[in-house]
Amino acid sequence: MQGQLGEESELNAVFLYMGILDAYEAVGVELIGPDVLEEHVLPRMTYYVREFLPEIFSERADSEELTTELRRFLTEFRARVEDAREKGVAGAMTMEEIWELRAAIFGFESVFINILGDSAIKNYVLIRMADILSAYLPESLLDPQIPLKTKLESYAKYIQDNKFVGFARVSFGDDEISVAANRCEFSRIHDSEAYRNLDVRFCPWGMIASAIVAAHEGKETNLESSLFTTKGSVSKIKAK
Amino acid sequence: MQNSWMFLGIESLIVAVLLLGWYFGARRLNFNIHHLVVYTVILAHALVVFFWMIPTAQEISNWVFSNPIGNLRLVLHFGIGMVADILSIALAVLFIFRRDMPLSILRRARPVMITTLTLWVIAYGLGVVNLLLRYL
Ligand code: HEM
Repeated sequence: MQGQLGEESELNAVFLYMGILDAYEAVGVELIGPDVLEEHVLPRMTYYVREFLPEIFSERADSEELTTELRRFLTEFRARVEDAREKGVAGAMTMEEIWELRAAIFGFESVFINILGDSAIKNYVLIRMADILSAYLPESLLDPQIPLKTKLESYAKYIQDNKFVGFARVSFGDDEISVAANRCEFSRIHDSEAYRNLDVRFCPWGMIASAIVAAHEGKETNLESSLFTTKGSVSKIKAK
Repeated sequence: MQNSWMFLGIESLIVAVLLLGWYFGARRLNFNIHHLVVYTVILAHALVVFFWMIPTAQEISNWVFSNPIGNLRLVLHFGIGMVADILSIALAVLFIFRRDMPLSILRRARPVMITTLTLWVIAYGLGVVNLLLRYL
């Protein structure tokens, strides 16, 4: 769990996570206000890191301190991504840090559910997210010459080869694409208390896939649903 | 006796399909495959139980239960197989009512499914051994 991710995958993984975070923040600022992070997300993030990783974070009794630490982590993480962008390599990222990021993403998701409601998420937030996130995809996934199927398959292979998930699969239906990920490193989150109203929770692997579709098709893409299982998810994507 | 080998063949096929359904369906979250396999297998197996296992059990039950310890393999096959069958039917019925497969239910159903599959394979293994020892 606490191990380091493989060297080559790091940079891409960091960008993708940063992309999800940036997309959430951009949409959050746009719809809720400039202090969305400070007022709404950080308190939830503090709660979630404790819930997800009790063995590390529950010992820190003082919430204030933990919040400060998480705030600093997010700022430093952004600086690190900037740095990595220039140098072309990311500093080592631990699983613990990825968990902190996952908690931040989860925090945003919860804020949107509580403040904006379900339909805003489905009809607006996710479409905007896919759009913003597509700017973070690696070059190889942006080339318009490469067929969408190849791109999605290489994405599935990528997250599987890098052991983010034990198995990933993409399949094409008549008018929708389904992305399955099983035995996910982060599936411990599925045990969270917050994983109750699952109609508006979405798997990040599905989000990234929908960004790939959005970037390829050059039009709005809707992440319809994520069906969560104990250790995985199946997400359905529709191009509008 | 002719029938025994035929039903052994059918049951072997059923177990093979069930295992393939687990590997290509459940593990790969391909629910079309998983569902098709479990429902087909449960039905096919119910027919075997009804037309062959129950009649055979009736024939030999007096003899088996007159010496349950001596016939432990048969008793275990019968007991474990019955538990696996009951669990599989319970799962099938449960998911007919919960087609949406909510996470809260999956979390509890998953260990039951894994147990069912394991017991099914064990019962099958005992069944094969029993037949071989009886006829060879
Ligand atoms: C004979 C009955 C059944 C057996 C032996 C069986 C077997 C299994 C096994 C072994 C798994 C775990 C796969 C893994 O992660 O390695 C599984 C998962 C699953 N099965 Fe079944 N299954 C049965 C009936 C059903 C039925 C009737 C349904 C629904 C229609 C169902 C839906 C599922 C789902 C949704 C999962 C994924 C659960 C998760 O990972 O959270 N199963 N099954």
